[in-house]
Amino acid sequence: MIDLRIDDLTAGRSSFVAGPISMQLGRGEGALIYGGNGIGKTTLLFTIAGHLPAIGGTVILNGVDITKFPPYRRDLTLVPAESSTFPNMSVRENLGFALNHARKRPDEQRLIRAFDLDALLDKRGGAVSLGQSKLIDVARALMYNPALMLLDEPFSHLSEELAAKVQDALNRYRIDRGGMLIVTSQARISGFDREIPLEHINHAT
Amino acid sequence: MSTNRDYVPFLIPLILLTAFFFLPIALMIYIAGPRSIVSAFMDVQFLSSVELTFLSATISTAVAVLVGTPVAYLLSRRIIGSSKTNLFSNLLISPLTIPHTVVGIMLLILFTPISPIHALVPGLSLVNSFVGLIAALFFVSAPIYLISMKEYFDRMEPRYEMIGMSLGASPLEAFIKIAVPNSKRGILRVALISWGRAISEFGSLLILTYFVTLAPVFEYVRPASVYVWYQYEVYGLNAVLGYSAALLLISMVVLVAMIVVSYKND
Repeated sequence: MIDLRIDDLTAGRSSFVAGPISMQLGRGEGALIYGGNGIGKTTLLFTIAGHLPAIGGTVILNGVDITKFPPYRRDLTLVPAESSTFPNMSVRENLGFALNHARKRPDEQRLIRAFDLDALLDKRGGAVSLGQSKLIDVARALMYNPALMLLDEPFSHLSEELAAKVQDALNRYRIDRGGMLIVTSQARISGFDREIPLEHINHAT
Repeated sequence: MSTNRDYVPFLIPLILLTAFFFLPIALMIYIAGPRSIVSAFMDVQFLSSVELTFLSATISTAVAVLVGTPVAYLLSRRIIGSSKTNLFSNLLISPLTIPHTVVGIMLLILFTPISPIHALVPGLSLVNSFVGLIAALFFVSAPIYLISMKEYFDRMEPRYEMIGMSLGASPLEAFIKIAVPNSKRGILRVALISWGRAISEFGSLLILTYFVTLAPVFEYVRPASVYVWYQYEVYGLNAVLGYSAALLLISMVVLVAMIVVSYKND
């Protein structure tokens, strides 16, 4: 069964167009979009998330055309490459923020244990290290527990040990929740059901 | 001091500017002398004027923060599109160019019988009323709050609010729970500037609220700037020096508060 279908999606701004890309994902499947710097991976991800308007194409999630939906009505979430832990909230409040909006409540205690976040829960979001922030961002997205997760270069700035933790948690999300993933990376990495290379950028005329 | 000599061309205007602003302030306090300043602070009518001015400026600033912050955010994030954003940005700061006496006259006639909207609210009048005073202060200070807050939000990355919305929060929730708490310091600084502008207003008040009655708190009380002008007109320069210096010292509270806020932030 197809749960995510992206057809000829093009994204971009006035100066360039990324894509088109097309893909189909079923429950628990993951896709990798890979390519060099400035090729449009992040732009495509932000467009699927609803933060940028699509130039063309459609995104259909669980049978609903969400191409023009605002981000908060899409049943998906985005983890950007830069740290996005809310600095005004504690780590506990960061996780709680996502949990309060979750359509399907995850096992929050297991997630906190899986990411070793116990000791960090009362720290301010603005006071954690870059590596810790990346973990919190992924954990927070998993607390939201949507049908689709979009992760922009999730393994950058992470040690091998932390990257393995993130990988394990994402695998569990795919198996337990049947959640789908779209991950971007500069290099090709294994473990995905679909691989979409982005090779060249289309400059708008 | 280890300042590089190459920066002397920047330091000279800095010293000149500081001298230009603070020499008259220092001279005013010096010429007025401690006795007349103390006697101004003992004058119940003057203190009542200051109280009226501070209260109305605080209320007007609070309204500017409540209404202006979401509008500044909306314009900064260009949610209504670039052309409409530019249109409203220019429209909403244009009151800054209106001479304040004209602001006074506009508000004066707003609800009078010659105005078409008088029939809608026949009992309402802004003339010599506390509401009128707040309206005038809001008119002259809120555009400053609005444009300064918009610039503050322009410099603030939208990333956190975007991720908030990506975690299911509505735009309003992302604004209240993420954007506002992360810009508390900016809101405070800009509100202080706006408050300072409201405190110093004179032109529109001279026309609209020459005195204010708000029973039982204020009875025929002049706003502080009008009070100083009245003393000058009626009793002459010598009589007004103490009041001017006292008002100046009180206004400096704004400056000190801003400095404290700035240092805490750095």
